[in-house]
Amino acid sequence: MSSDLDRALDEAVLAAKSALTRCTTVDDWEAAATAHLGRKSAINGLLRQIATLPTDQRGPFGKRANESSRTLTAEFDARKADLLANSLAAVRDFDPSTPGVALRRGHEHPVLAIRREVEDVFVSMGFRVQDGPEVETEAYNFEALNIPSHHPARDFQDTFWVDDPAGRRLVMRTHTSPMQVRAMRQFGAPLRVIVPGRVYRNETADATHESAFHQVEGLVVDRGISVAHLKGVMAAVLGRLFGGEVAVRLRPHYFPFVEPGFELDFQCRFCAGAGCAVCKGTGWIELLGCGLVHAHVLKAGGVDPEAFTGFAFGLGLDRLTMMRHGVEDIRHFHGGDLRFFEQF
Amino acid sequence: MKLSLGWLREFVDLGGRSAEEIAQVLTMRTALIEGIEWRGRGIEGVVVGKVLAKAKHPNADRLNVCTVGIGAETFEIVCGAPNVDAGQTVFVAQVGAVLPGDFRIKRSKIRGVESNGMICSSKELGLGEDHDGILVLEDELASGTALSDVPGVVDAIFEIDNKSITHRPDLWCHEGFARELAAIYGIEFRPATTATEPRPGDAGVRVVLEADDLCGKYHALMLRGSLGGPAPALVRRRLEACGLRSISLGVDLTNYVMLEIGQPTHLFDARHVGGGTIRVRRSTAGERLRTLDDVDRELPADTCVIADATRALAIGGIMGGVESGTRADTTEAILEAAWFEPVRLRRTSTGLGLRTDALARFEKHLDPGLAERGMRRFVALLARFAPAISAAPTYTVAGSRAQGVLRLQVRPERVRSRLGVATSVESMIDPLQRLGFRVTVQGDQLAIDVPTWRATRDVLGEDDVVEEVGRMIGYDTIAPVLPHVVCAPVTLEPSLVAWRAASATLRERFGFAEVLSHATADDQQWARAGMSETAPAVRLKNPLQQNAARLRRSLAPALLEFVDRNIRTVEHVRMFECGRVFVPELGDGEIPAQPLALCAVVADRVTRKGEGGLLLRQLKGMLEDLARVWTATLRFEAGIGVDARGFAHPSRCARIVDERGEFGFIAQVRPDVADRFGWRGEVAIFEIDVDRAVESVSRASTYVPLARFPDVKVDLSFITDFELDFARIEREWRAASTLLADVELVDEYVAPPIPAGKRSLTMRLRFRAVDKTLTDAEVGVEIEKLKTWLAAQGAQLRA
Repeated sequence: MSSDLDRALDEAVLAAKSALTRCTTVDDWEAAATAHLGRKSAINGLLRQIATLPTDQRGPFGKRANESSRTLTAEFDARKADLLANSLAAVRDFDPSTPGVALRRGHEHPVLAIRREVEDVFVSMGFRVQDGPEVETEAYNFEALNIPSHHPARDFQDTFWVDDPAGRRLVMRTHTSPMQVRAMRQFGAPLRVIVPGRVYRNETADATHESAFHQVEGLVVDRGISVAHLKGVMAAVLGRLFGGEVAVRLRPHYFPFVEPGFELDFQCRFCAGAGCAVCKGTGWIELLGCGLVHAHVLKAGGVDPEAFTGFAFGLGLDRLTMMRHGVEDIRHFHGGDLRFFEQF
Repeated sequence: MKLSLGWLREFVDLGGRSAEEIAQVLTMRTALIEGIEWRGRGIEGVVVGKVLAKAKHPNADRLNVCTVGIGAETFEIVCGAPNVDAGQTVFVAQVGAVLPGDFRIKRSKIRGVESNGMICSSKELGLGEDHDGILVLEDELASGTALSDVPGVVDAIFEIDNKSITHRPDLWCHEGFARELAAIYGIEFRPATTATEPRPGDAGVRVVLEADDLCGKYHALMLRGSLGGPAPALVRRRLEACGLRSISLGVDLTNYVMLEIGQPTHLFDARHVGGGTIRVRRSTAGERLRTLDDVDRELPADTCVIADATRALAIGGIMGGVESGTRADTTEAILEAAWFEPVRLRRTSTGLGLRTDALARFEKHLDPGLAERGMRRFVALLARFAPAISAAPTYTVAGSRAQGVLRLQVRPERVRSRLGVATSVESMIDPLQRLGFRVTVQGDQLAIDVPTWRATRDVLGEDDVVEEVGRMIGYDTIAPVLPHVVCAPVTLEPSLVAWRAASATLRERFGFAEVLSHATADDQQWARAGMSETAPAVRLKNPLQQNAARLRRSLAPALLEFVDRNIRTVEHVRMFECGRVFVPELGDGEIPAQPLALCAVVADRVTRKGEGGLLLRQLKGMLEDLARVWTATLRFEAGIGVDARGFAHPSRCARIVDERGEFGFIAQVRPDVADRFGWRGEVAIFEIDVDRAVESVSRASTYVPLARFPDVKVDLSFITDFELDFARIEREWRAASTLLADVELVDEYVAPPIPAGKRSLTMRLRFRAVDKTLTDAEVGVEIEKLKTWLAAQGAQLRA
C-alpha cells in the first residue's frame, strides 16, 4: 500500500517537473500549475488521502508528500517569476512621448482664480471674507462714502441707475467700497475684512474696458492704524501674491472716502524698475487705490473716528489677470468661449 | 491738464533740476504726472531772422524770394508761405540746420533760384499743428537769437492726471503747482503779481446781482483798445503748449490768467451789453442761448444767466454767448471776473451736457477772493503784453461771498500716529508754512490757519493736515509695519464657502469650465430661452443697449447662449456659473433680493441612440455629489421649476425644494427649444439658490462602524412605470426588511424593448445582521418579502 502511494507521489512529482520544464510562456505555466498543483491535481489527491491512512503510515508518507508539494510550489513560483520577467523585454509597446489618456479636466475662470488667491492670502492674515449686494443704494454707494450728489468724483464713475418702480434710488455698485460701511455697521471695530466682488460701470466695452469687472475691497479698522500699517500689509500681501520681495510706493491721489488717499504702485516685475513696455517706461505699475478711512466714512459705519482709525484699499482683478496671462482682450472674461477657458 | 515747465519757472526758481526729476517729485508729493511732452527739442541751427524784403519768384506764382537778415548777414530764401511779408520776425533754419524728425536743411535751387535755408512754420519746428503759414514772432526779438533762447519755445509740457487733483481747486493752474514745488524743494515762491489799480467804484457799467445764490461775487471792468487782434507770440505759444487754441488778444489773455492762477474770466463786447447793465439772474422757462461753440441751447432751470437788460449774454461760469463776445473790431469790452456756486453750476453743466475749462475750475469750489485777483492779474498782463489796451481806473463789484479764515487745531501726536512715523513738530510746521498755512504752536497743539485757496473744500479738518504733512515729508520715508491685532478666528461667509466648494467639485471632479456672464439679460436671449416677457426683473434706467436693460433673474438663459456659442465645435460642453441674480419681488425693502445662484449645463453635440435622458441623469448625479460635498440634503420633486418653464422637458425635469418651497430646478432642454437653437444632441441644466442649499448643511457624521459579519449581496431586476418612484421603493423596502442594510441603483434602462412609459431597474441589495453571518435561507425570506411587495405594486420581476 505504502509503496503504491510512494510510487504515485514520485510519478506525480516527475510529471509536474517535466510539465514545468516545457513551459515557455506565462500561459503555459498557468495551465501546468492548475494541472499539477491545483485542486484536482494528483498531488493534491495524495495529500487528501493522508488523513485516511493508518496511523503508522500517516507520519512518514505525510511528511514526504508535504515536503514534495512545498518544493514543487517553490519551483513553480520561481519559474513564474522568471517567465514574467523575461516576457517584459520582448516587445516594445509603449511610447513615452505619446500623451497619456486624459481624464476630463476642468477650468477655473482666470479672474476668479486670482480672486481666490487673494482671498487665501488675506484669510491667512486673519481677514474676514464678505460678499455684498451688486444692486446697491445710492446712499451706500456714494453718500456714505463722502461722495454727495454734486461731487465731481461722481464723474469718474459712470453709473448704471436702476429704474425702480418704488422710486428707491438704486445703482449697480460702481465699486466694492459700499461694503466698508455695511461691514462696519454689521461687525463694528476692530475689524479686518475683504470684500471681493463684481462691480459695474456704464462704459462701452472694448479690448481694455468692460462694463463689469472685479475688485477686492479691503478694510482694517483698529486703534492706531497708520499709513505705515497700510504699507506693511500691502507689501506682505503682494509678496505672497507675486512671490519674493515686492517694492511698493504710495502716490498721493484723491478718493473722497479716504484721507489721505493714495495710489499704490508696485515695481514692474518685467524690467525690475528699469522701464519697459509693460510699465510704459516708468518702472512702476499702478495696482490699487487706498488710504486711511475718512472720518466721515467711519462715522457712517458707526465707528468713533477718535478711538479708531483704519485703512482701506480697492484692488482691481481684471487687469492683474490680463497682465499675468497676457490676455489681449478683457471681453474674453465674460465671453463664454471655451477656446479661452480651456487654456486655464 | 497741461503745465508748461517754462511757465512754472516764472513763479519758482527751479535751477538746473530736470523735467524728469520735477515730474517724479510732483508725482510722489502732489499729483500724478502722466507724461512729459517736449517741444523745440532736437532742433539745431535755427535762429531768429528778419524778413527785410519780399519779391515775387520769377518762375513761380506762389513762391516769394525773401531777403532775410540774421545779424549783419543777409540771405536769399525761397518761401511758399502765403503769410510771409517784409518786416516780419521769423525763425530761420539756416543751411546745415536740423529740424525734428532729423530733417536737415541744405542749400538748394527752387525753380532756378538759390535758397539758403528755410523760414519755418510751427509744424516744421514741432511747436504746433499750424502749417498754413510761417510762424511770425514778436518784433522785439533780436535777429540772430538762437531758438532755444526765445522764451516759451523750448519747453517741457507735463500732462497732469486730472483725477488726482479733483479735490484741489488751487492746482488747476501754474501758480498752484509752482507753490507746491517751492514747498517741496524749500525754495522761494514768487506769486503772480497783480495791478493795484483799478479801485472799486462806478465803472460805467451797472451790475445787478439778482441771483446771489448762484453767483456770489461779480466784478466788471471796462477795457478800451483793440482786443480783437492777435496776442503776442509768447502768449500764443504758451496757450498752444497747454492745449488751448489762440483766438484773439482779449480771449487769449483771459485764458492766460486762467492757466496762470486758476481764475476763469470772460470778455463781453461793450456794444452788445444793452443799457450798460449786466444782470446776473436765473434762467427763465424755455430760455435759449446760442453759445460760443455755435450751438443753440435751452437753458435748464436755475442756470445762472449773465444778461443785459433784455436778453441772455452768457451762461455764467460755463460759456459765453456767440453774439456778445469780442470780435476783430472790438474796441471796448467788459471784463467779467466772478465766483459761481459750484453745486448749481455742476447741475447746469449736467443739464446742458456741456463741460468747459472754466467749469472744471469753478466746480472745484474756488476761493471767491480769487475773482478780484484774476481781474487784477489781467490788468497786470495788459501792461506786459498789450500796453495799448487801457483798463478803467474803477470797476464795479457786486456780491459779498468771501472765504473766511479757517482755523484748525491739530495735535502733532495725531499726525504721527496716523502716518506711523516719528516726525518732529518743526518738520511739520516748515512745509505747512511754505504751502501758505499759518501755524502757531499752542502748548502741545498747533493752531493752523488754512489759506483761503485750500479752505473751500479741501483742507477742512485735522486729518487733511495729516495728508499735507505726509506728502511733504514723503510717503516713501514711512517704513512699512505690520499691525498688531487681536487673534481671533475668522468666520467665512457660508455662501462663499459653498461657491468655492462647488467650483472645485464641478471643475476637478466633473471637468466643468467656470464661466461668467453679464448681469444684464438681453431680450433676445430671454426670448430664446423661453423666459416669459412678463417675468418681473430689475431694470436699468440707462442701459448700454436698450434691449439689455433687464438684470438677470436666472443664469440659465446666458448659459444656454454659451452652449450655443460652443456646441458646434466642442463634443461635450460642460460649463457652470456662480453669480448673483436679481429678484425684484423679494428683498428687504432697501434693495432687491440678490441671491447667489449656481447654474451648470451639460450638452452633447450628438446624443447616441438608446442614451436619451442619460445626460440628465448624469447631471443629477453630479449635483447630488456636490450636495454631499456641501453636506447638504437636496429634495427633488416632480414638476417644472419656475425659471425653467421656458425650456424644460415636461417630464424630464424636477424642482428642488425645501419646506419653504422651490429654490432650484434640474431639467433636460425640450427638443423643440433645442431645435430652435439648431442643436442636435441633448442638453441638461440645473440652477440652484446656493444660500438656500447650504441652509441644510449638517456637520453630523454619517459614519457607521465596520460590520463584523459579511454582507450578502443580491441583485434584483424588475420593470415598473414611473409612478412607482425610486424613493418610495427604497422607503418601503427598508420598512419591510430590517436586515436590508443598503440599496444601490445599478442600472435604469428606458429604451426599447422596454415599453414606453416603463423602465427596467436593477438594484443591488445588501443584507446584514449585527450579530451573525446570515444564511441563504434567512436572506431568501427577506427577498421574498420585497418581491411580494413589488408584485403588489404591479412591477414585473425579471430573471
